Amino acid sequence: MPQPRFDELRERLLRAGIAPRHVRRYVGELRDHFDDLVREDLSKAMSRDAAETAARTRLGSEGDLAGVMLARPALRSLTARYPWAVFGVGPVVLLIAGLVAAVAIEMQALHLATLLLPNPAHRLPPEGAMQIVAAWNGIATLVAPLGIAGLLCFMGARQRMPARWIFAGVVIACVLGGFQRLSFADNGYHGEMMLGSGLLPPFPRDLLAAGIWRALIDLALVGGAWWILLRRGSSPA
Amino acid sequence: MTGSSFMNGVPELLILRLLEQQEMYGYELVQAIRARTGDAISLGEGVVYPSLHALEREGALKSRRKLVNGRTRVYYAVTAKGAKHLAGLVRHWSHITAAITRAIGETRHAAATL
Repeated sequence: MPQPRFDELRERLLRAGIAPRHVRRYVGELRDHFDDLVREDLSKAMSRDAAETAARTRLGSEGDLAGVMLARPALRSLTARYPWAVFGVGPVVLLIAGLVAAVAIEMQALHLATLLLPNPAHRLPPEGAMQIVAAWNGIATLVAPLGIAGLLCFMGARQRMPARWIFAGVVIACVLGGFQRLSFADNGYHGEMMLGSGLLPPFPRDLLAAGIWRALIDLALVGGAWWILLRRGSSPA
Repeated sequence: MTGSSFMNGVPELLILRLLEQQEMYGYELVQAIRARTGDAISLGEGVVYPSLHALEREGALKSRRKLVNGRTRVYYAVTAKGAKHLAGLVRHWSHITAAITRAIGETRHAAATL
């Protein structure tokens, strides 16, 4: 009789909202406990089959083991308790926080650059420097929404959340993120940082059109990655 | 004696009392409970872990991973908050057992009088 893997127990607990870290530790502890019980009985000259059967009985049925864990609501994850906060409010807060952080870091870096590299002749900034700033802005506006959507997928799959919550979070991250734009221009006399959203008045046409495309591309990318992971049968938990 | 509503709080009491004396991992703890109670209290051995996790979450226990004989064990120990919680549980159970002992004594006395 092989060592129990407690796969069904793990799935049942995750689907019921028990935090993945508690589930992982619980299953690990039960496996170790099973091993200890088997060793104890083997040392009493019991056969392996008999020892494993006795160990299963002493450990408790999977129904009992699940029941005692489910009876403790404090062990449920925040994701399971407040899915609207994680998948609804979470992406909005993360997108805003990411943008604010990116702008703050960029402003500090540009301020430092003007202090360290004074430009009395008002020359245009080096191409390389502008590319670095553009790459940074790209990470903040193009990569961050994808990263947040990926994070929500990971958290949802890990906690076996209903697909509707994961889908809602991904759509919010991709749509809100897709309509943002952060850019920087410098004519040698002064620099200008622009942060805009196609979803805010006056709803600039160029941002709206680009936003729709970017949101669709992001959704396709996340959906494609999800589909590939599903086909491979991998689970983040 | 096994699980019933009357047993609420008993696993926590035993766990905290035993872990107050020394840190233990789950299997050691269950063996200690069996030994200390003379098998009078038999818990399904796996059910001790949710109690340990919940007590840790409440701050009554702390855990650490320790490598013992090539295997990583999760050892649990009582915190200062856990010690206070234990004192409260002990007071509560002492009160209940004293009341029951008194009630049993009175019943016996009444039966003897009759």
